[in-house]
Amino acid sequence: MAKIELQSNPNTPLNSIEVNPSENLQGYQVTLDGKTVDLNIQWTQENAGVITYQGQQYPFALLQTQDTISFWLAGQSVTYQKPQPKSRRDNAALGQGQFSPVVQAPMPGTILKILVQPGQVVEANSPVLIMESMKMEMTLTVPCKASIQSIPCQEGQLVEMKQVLLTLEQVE
Amino acid sequence: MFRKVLVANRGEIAVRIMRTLQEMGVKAVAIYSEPDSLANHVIQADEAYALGGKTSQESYLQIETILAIAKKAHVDAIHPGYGFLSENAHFARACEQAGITFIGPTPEVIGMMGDKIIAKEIMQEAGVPVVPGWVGDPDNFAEIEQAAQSMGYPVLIKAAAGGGGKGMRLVSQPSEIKDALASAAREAQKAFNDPRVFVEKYITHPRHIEFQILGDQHGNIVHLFERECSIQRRHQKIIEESPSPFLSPALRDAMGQAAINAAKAIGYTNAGTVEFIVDESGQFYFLEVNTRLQVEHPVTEAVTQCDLVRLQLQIASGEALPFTQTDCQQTGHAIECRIYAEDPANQFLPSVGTLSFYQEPQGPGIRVDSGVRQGGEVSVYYDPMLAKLIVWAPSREAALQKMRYALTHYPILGVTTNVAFLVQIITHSAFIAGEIDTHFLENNTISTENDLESPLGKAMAALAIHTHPKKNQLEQTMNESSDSNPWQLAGLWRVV
Repeated sequence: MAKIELQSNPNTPLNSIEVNPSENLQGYQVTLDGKTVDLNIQWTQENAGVITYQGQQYPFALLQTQDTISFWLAGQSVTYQKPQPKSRRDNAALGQGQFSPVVQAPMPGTILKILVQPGQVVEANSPVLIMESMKMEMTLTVPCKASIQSIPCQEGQLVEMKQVLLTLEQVE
Repeated sequence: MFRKVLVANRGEIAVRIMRTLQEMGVKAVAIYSEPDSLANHVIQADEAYALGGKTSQESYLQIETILAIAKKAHVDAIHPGYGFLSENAHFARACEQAGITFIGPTPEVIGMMGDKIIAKEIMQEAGVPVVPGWVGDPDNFAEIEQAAQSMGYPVLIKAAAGGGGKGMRLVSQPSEIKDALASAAREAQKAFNDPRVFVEKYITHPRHIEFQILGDQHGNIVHLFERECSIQRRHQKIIEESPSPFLSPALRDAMGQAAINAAKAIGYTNAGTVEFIVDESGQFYFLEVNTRLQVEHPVTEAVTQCDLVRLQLQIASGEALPFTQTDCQQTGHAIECRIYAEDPANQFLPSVGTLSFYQEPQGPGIRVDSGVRQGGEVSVYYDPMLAKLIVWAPSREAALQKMRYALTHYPILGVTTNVAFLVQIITHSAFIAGEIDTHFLENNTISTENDLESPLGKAMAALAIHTHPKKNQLEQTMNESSDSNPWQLAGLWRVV
């Protein structure tokens, strides 16, 4: 028997999954949330193969690195990440407690226009920045009603993905 | 026929053009930017030359550098592909002046059709129906607002030099028009170096249906039927098919004739596309002429059994079209899906990364035109289209089944793609019924839910993790480096 724990995201419960060879030695019985399904698996390549469920074939691919598992199945994919050691996870959680909202670049690109000034109070979802990436303009908005704390970028600047463009303070 | 042709493009289209060149015994020359030094089109080519630079502006749009390479490599002709310099009249003229054949229409025709305002005037004169609109000084807001009011909202702002949805804005009320004009002009300036925009009445429930045309240098013009391109996101096509499920034989003939009239009005040579908007009643309006090979050209190739690139080369080298209109037939049904590295669940934002796993589907009637391979990088510098998946079958129903099979047998890991989204569209009851217009994605709910987060999906993932051939090795390294309990050898994994 093997037990594997998978969690879709931190807000959903952890799923503990049991994988057992079937008694007739054909395929596997996989148990999740008290429900067992019969699955068959065939590896046809180093990182890919076919899973059979209820007579239906599902092609899959699986890639593991030290820190991630990427799984593709019949057109969809998901990536699981190995959690950081406990102490680092606690630190991250601590950081989350002091979390203040920011506007980040969703893509690497260029800042075209800054629509706000420090100190300004804006409503939730109001546009604050226009940036361009891959020849497309996109308008960035604030996630909540907020006062603009600082603008650590300027018009015309090339920015990296996830770079902080605005720091905010939530306004109730 | 030419001996050697430079392909002034990158990605899937450069690879596709080079295949035909090499089939015909013509040497293919590639040019490449810094991030593309190991790209597929460079590997495919017989010779490749560095352009330097990273962005399009620094590389594939450098006319002088490209012409210098063309001369150094002693090419007879340049094929521009689509995008980049393909509809740049100045480039076509510069090729001509350098004594190199530009594979496409004349610079005059490119110039006329590249200006959407002039193009519309010419077509109106030639008796081709056009959409009511307004042209004038973009800073005269009062006049624009008045014109928009009389056309009736919503109106569409478009770039005079436009294409691909760039510089295009939909305006549904007067208060939005000023910002939309400024933003459209800015985007148009960036994309085409020409900030002029114009306003057009917006047709509700419009279908986008275009006709492939071919004209030789001896005055012969034919059309190779239509492509239905109504499924669009961000004003860009993502699914195309031929025939259109909407056209009756009579409407097809009428539109085909209008396309030929449009081409004749400007003395069109080489391959081109006449785009129309068609409303619910079947009334059609001229939209624009694309003076180049289209992204979706394989759909036409599949139903007519033509190689459009071969025909382009034959026309450019002075040969007459090898067939007449009555020889042309549309057989079976073809569909194309554009495979993009983008996230449909998050405003279709492009996704960048390394293609850690990439395998194209295979089988009879399945064609993949791609410019990427496993291990390759999807960079921030260029369009995020990875490939085009084209299927052909005798009927639309069979073609849809084949497309679904192909999409679900196309493993890609390392970047987020629109593949699952495409599957959702082609299996949607309205799409299957052919009830499509350019607002299909806004008016129909297309699920972006990930089945792999369901219990069955997780069970399958867990089984694959458990039975992975390299598992023992992996477990060992993890065991040594962590204090995990033996029942959790594969550990706890969280979705990123």
